[in-house]
Amino acid sequence: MRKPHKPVDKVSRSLAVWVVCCWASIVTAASPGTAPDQTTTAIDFNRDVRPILSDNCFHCHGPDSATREAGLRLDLQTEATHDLGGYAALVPGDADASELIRRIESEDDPMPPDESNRKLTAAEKHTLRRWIESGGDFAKHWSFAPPVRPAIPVVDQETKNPIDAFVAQRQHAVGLTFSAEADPETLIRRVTLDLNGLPPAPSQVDAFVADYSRNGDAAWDRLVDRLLQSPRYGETMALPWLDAARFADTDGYQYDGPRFQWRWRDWVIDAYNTNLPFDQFTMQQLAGDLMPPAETRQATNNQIIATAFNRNHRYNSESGLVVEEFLLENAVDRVDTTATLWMGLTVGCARCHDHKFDPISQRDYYQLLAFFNSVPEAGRAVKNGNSEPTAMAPTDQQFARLLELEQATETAARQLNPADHPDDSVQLVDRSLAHAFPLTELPKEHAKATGAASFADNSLVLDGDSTLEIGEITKAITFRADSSFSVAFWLRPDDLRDSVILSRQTTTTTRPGIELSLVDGGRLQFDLITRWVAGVGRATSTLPLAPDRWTHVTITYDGSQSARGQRIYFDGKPIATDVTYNTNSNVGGVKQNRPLILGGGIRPDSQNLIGALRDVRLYTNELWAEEVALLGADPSSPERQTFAQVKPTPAYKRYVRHRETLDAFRKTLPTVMVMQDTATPKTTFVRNRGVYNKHGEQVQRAVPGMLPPMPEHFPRNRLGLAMWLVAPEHPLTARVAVNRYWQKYFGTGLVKTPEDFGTQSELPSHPELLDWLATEFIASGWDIAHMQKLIVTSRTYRQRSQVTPRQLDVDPSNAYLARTPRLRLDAHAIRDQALFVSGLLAERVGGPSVSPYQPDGLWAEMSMGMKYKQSDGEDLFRRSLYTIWKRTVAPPTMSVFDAADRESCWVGRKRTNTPLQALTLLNETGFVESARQLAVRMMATDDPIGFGFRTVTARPPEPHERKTLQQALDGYRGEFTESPAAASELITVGRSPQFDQGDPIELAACTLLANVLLNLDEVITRE
Amino acid sequence: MNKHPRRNFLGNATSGLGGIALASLLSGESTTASETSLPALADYKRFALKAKRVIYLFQSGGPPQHDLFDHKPLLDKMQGQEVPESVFAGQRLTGMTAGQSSFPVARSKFKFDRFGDSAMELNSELLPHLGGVADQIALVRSLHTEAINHDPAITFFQTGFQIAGRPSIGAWSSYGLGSENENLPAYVAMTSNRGGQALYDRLWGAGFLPSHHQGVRFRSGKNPVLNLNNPAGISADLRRQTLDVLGDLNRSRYGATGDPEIQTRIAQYEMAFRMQTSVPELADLSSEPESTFDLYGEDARKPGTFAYNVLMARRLSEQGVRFVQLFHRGWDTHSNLPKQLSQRCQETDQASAGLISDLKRRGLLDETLVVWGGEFGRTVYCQGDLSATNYGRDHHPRCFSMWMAGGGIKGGTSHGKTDEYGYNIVEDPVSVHDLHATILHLMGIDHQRLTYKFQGRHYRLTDVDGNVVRNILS
Repeated sequence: MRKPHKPVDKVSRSLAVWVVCCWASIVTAASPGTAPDQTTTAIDFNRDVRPILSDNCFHCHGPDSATREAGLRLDLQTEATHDLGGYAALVPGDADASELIRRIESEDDPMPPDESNRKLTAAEKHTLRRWIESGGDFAKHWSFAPPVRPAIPVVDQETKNPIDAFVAQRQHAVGLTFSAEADPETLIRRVTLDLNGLPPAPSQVDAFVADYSRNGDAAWDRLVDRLLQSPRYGETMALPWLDAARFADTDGYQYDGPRFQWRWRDWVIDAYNTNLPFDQFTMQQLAGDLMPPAETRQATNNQIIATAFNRNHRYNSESGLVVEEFLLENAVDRVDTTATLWMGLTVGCARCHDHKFDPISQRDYYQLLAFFNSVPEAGRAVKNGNSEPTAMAPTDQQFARLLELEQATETAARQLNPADHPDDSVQLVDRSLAHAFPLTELPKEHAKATGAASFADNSLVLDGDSTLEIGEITKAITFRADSSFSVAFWLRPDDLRDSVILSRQTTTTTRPGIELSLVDGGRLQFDLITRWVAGVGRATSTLPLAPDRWTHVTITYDGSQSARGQRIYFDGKPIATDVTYNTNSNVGGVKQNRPLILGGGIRPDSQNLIGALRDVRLYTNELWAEEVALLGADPSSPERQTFAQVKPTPAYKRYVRHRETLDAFRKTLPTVMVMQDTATPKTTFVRNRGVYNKHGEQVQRAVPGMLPPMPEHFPRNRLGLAMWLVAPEHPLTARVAVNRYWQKYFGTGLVKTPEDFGTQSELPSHPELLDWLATEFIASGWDIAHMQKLIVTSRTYRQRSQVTPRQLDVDPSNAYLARTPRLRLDAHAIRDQALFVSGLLAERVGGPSVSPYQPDGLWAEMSMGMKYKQSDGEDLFRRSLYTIWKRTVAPPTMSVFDAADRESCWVGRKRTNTPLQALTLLNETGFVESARQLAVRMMATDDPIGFGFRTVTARPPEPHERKTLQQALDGYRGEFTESPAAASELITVGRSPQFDQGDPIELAACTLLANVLLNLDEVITRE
Repeated sequence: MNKHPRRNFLGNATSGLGGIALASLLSGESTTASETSLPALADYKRFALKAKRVIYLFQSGGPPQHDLFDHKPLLDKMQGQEVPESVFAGQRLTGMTAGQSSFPVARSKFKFDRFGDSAMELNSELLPHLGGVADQIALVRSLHTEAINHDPAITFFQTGFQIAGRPSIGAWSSYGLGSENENLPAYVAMTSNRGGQALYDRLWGAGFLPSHHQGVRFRSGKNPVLNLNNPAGISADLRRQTLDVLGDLNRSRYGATGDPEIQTRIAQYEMAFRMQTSVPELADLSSEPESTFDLYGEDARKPGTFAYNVLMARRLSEQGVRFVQLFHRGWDTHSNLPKQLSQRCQETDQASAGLISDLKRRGLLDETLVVWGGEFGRTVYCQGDLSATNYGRDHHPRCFSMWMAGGGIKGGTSHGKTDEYGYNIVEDPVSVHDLHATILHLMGIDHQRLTYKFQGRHYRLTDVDGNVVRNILS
C-alpha cells in the first residue's frame, strides 16, 4: 500500500514482439569501451574520434577560450572547417587538404607538440584520417543528447526482461552466453544483501528454496517484493546517497566540531521506504523550502528538512578565516555536488577557467553557482552545533507533542482576561529579571561613578567623560553567545555622536561581552562579541534614535549564536536591523568580575555617552514581544500605569507556565541545517581564476548553454533548477541515476565513471541498455523501487558468479556480463552482517548517530580536545549507517574497508583487499564479540558447525568443509582445555551479556570457529 | 610448544622491482580491477632516483621564521613601532588580527649565530643541534603559500590543493613508486603532541587514488597498527591454526568460483600474520645501541614523543617504507611565543638533527630525503600584547622557512631571501608546488607526468604549476 511498485512490463518480456535493433555498428564492436577494428568498421564520431580529439587537442583547441591557441577550435564542426585564409583545419572528405592531418603527420612540426606530453599513436592518426575522408562529421557528445528509447533487440537466448535482451545482444558479438542461474541459496543471499544490506536468516533461506522450486519466478517476485517492503531497504538505499551527499556528523575543517544532521538521514531513509519518486526526491532536496506548502504543517516541514542535502558540505569555523572566501567555498561545493550527482558533470573545472573538454564556460559555472549562493549564512560555522539557517526538525512523536503544547498555550492565551483577580506573588515582566537599576539615585551597593556622573530628573546624567560602573552582576548573566538574555532601559541621548551607551566586557584584546553604542547619527549598534574580530554578532538598528528625547530601548538575544537572533526594540516596537558581522562560532562569555559600565566601554577608540539613562534592567531570558511592548510603553500611559501596579492574574500565570513549557520543549527539539534564499538574490560575479575576491563580470542565474534551456515559466531559483533537472528532455539526469543503480548490483556502472558523463568519460559498455533504463525510469514516473526490481529480476542478475577460464580469458573485466560479479561487501554491510548473524543487531530505523567500539584515543590524538564517547547498550549494535562520522578522524573499521570519506561528493565504489582488513576482521572488538555471540547461537543447536556455516553463507557446508571445521573445533577445544584462562578471556570480549551457563571451554572453541567463519572470503563477499 | 617459530621478517625485505608481485599484494591491488590509468613507467620516471625514501617532519601550526631561521636585525631597532604600510602592500590578514588597531613590530627575543663551514645563520639558543648539522641541510627562506588558515594551508601542503579531496604527497609517491618492503605499507604517518591544531585523516589520505595508497597511521607504543593484536585469549599459535583453516576453506572456495580475488585475500591474511610479528619488532627499541639515544635524546625512549617518532621513522625508512611523515603539533604561536617556541624546539631540535647524523652514520643519508617545516610562517607584527619579553605572531603566508637534507640535496645551502622585515620575498620565491615538484624530482619522478585520471581530467600533485628548485640540488 505504501509502495506502489509497477510490475515489469509484461509485454516487453515476450520475445516475439521484440524488434530488430538498428544499432548494427555497435553490435559488431569488439569490446565495450574499446575501439573496434578500425579498418573494417564505419567511423563513429563519439566512439572513435572524440576521445582522440578530447585527450590530445581540446586542451589548446577546445572549449576554453583563455587557453585556445591560434584561434582554432576543434570541438565544433563550424569552427574546425572555418576558412583560415585559403586553408582549413578540416576539409570534409579531403584528408590531404586538411591542415589537421598535415600537422599530426608532420615530422618536424607535429601536433600535439612534443612539449605537451601528448602523443598520437599511428592508429589514432589513421582514425582521424579515415574520419575526415568519410566526411569529417561531428556528432553531439552522446550524453548531451536526450536518450531515445531503443527498440528491444531480438536475441536467441532466453530472457527475463528487456535488460537481458540488450546484454545478450552484446554477448553474442563475442560468442559469450549467460551463465547458468545461481543456486537458490546464493540467489536469496545475494538479493537480500543487495536490497536489505543484511543476509537472510536460515529459516528464510529454507522457505525461499522450497517456494522457488515450486513456483519459480513467482517466488522470486515475492521475495523481491518482501525485501523492497522492508524498512531495511530504505536504510540500505540511503547509504550510497549519504556518501554522495557527503553526510557527516562534524564540520570537517580544523576543529571539526559536531553538527546534527541526522534528521535529514531519517528523511532519506523514509524517502526510499515510501518510494518517493525520484523527481520529488530531487525537488524536495534541492528546493523543498521553495516548494508550495504540503498538505500538513509536518509534511511542509519535512520538505524543508530535505534541503539539508545542500548544507551537508564541510563548513569552516576557524577563527582566522575570511568569510567571503568560505561563502564561495560553500556554494562551490553545492554546485559541484549537484552537478556530479544529477548530471555526471565535472563542472568544478570551470570554476577557474572554461572547461577544457566539455562545453561549459566559466560564465556557465557562475550562472549555476548563482542558484546556490543566496543562503542567509554566516560564512563561518558555529564551532559546536548547527549553523544557520536551521529548521526545527521534530520527529513524528515530537511533532505530536509540539502541537499539543502549542494548543495548550493558545488555549491559555484565549483564557486571559484583564478582569481576572490579581495575585500578589509574581510581578508582570519580572519573569527572569536578574537586575533592575532604577537610577533615580546612586545605587547603594557596588556602584562607582567616574567623572561627573550625576543624578537628576530621576535619571543618571552623563556628560561624555563620565560613566557609572556597577559590579557584582549575577552569574546568571554571562553574555555568552549560546545563552539568551535581554537588556532594557530608558535612554535620552543629548548628542548623537558615536559613543557607548552600555557595555560589559573582559578587558583583553578580544573583548568578549556586549557593547551597545550609538553609531552613524544615532543608530543603535548591538555587539555581542566572543572574540574580536573573528567572533562578533553585530546588529544595528536601521532607524536612529531621536536626540533630547526619552526612548525605551530593549535588546533581546535568543542564544542562537546568530546575529539574526539579536533583536532591537524602540518604545516596545521591533526595529529592523542590519547584520554586518555574524561570526560567533565560539560562545565567549564575559569574566564574572567585570562590571556593567553605563555610558562607556573598553574599546581604546570609543567615546562616552552624552545623555541620560534610567530603569536599566537585565534579564536572563529572551523577553516575549508582548513583555517588551509593556516595558516600552510610555511611563504615563495607561498600560504602563497598569503595569506598574497590577499583579498578574492566575490565568496569566497559567499562560506563562504553558508558554515557558512550550519554549523549553522547542529548545529540546532537534534542528537541521537547511537551505533558504535571501529575499533578494545576492549578486554573483565570475571569479577570475576561481579566487573569491577577484571579481569578474556579474552574472544571473542560468543553466549551462549546451543543455536544454530552462522553460520560461520555471522560477529562476533552485526550484526551477530542480524542475529543469527532472524534465523528461534533460539528457543526463535519468542516465546518471540508473547508471548508479546498475553500479550497485554489478560493481561497475554501464558508464564506468559515474561521476563523469562528459566528453572525457568512457563510452557506455551498453549504450542502448543505458538509454532503455533511463527512458524506463522516466516513463515509470521516476519509480526508484521499480528500477531496482527490474534489475534484480533480470536473468543477468541471477547468473552464477563462478568464472570459467574462458570467461576470464575473453572478458576478464566482465564487461559482457556473462556472469554476475562476485563483489566484496561494502564496509557497512560487513559489520552489519556480523552483528546480524550474532543476534546482536539492534534494529531501529532512524535517530541520532551512535558511537560503537573504537580504539581508545583516536580522536584525542588528532583533534583539538574532542574525545570519543562510546555508546552504551543497544547503541553499540545499531546498523553502521548510524555510526557517528567525524570527518577528520573517520571510523577506522569503515575506512579500512574503503568507505567513502564524506569530505566531498563521492559516487564511485572502491574495493581493495589489504592486510589491514584482515587484522580488523580477525581482531577488532566488535567482530570478536560477534563471533562470541554467534558461538552462543551455534551451541544452542544440535549442529553448531552446520548452523554457524549456514548462518553466514546461506548454504550447508560441503562434506570436506564440515570435516575441516570439525577438526578445527576439536583442535581449539584441546587448546583451550590446556589453558582455561585463555578461554575465559576470549568469551568476555565486548560489552554484550556474558554467557553464564554451559562450558566456557566449548564456548571459547566455538567463538574461535565463528571468528574463522566471519573471516571467510565467501562471507564478506556477495556471490 | 612453539609450532611456528618466530621469523625475523624484517630481514626479508625485498627491494625495488624484484618485489613487485609481493608489493602489489601488500598494496591490496585488486587482481580484477587494474589501475589502468597509471602511466607507463618510462613516462614519469625520468630522473635519477636520488631519494629512495622520504622522511617528512611536518611541524603543524606554522613555526615562526623570524625566531628560528630568518634573522632580521632591523627588528631590534623597530621594536614596538608600526610596520610601515609599504610593507603590507595590500596583504590580506586573518580574521584574528584584521581587527587590531595597531601592528607593532615584534623583534625576536632569541640570539642568532652562524653555523658550519657554510656559516648558516640560525637561532643559536633553540636550534643548537640543527646548527651542528648545518652543512648537511639546505635552508629555504623563501617558501610561500596561498592559504592563511590552518586547515586549507596544511591540506594544500599535503595534497597540492586547499580543499579536501585530492591525494596526499605520500599517496602519490606510493602510487608512483610502490613499496620497498612487502611487510610494511608504502606510506606511514605518525603524530605527536596532543595539544595544538587538529590533524586529519585526509592529510595522509589517498583522495581519488585507490585507497590502498593512503598512509597507514602508526600509533605510539607496542601496537602501532590498529587491531594488530590478537584478541585476549588467542595466542600466536592459535591464530596460526585459525589462519590455516581459513586458508584451506578459502582455497576450496577459489576452486569452486575461480575468482582470483580469493587468492589475493589468502595472501593478505598471511601478510597480516607476518605484520603481527614485524611491526612489534619495529617498535621494539631494545636493539638500538645507546649511541642512538645520545643522538636523538632521551625522549626517544618515550612512546608518544616527537623524538620517539623520529627514531621510529628511521626504523621504518630503513626497512624500506617509501614515505614516512611525522606531524608534530603545537607551533601555532599566537601568544606567549617565546615560551611555546622554546618547548617545541626542546622537543624537536635534537631529534631532527639526530636523524640526519644517524642516517649519515648508517650510510643512508644519500638515499633518504629529510624535510622539515610547517604549513605557513608567522607575522613580523605582534598579535595581542607586546612586551619586552613576550609577544605572539599571527599566520603569515607570504614567506617562511623550511629545510631539507639528504638524498640529492646540496648541504650548507641557503636559498631565497626576504625583505628586512621578513614580510615579503625579495629573491627566489619557492611555492608549495615548487617544493612538491622538487621532492618528486628527487624521487626520480617528473611531477608533470605522474598523473591520475579522475573526473575526466589528468590530475597531478602539482596541479598546473611547480618548478624544481635546482639551486638546492647536489
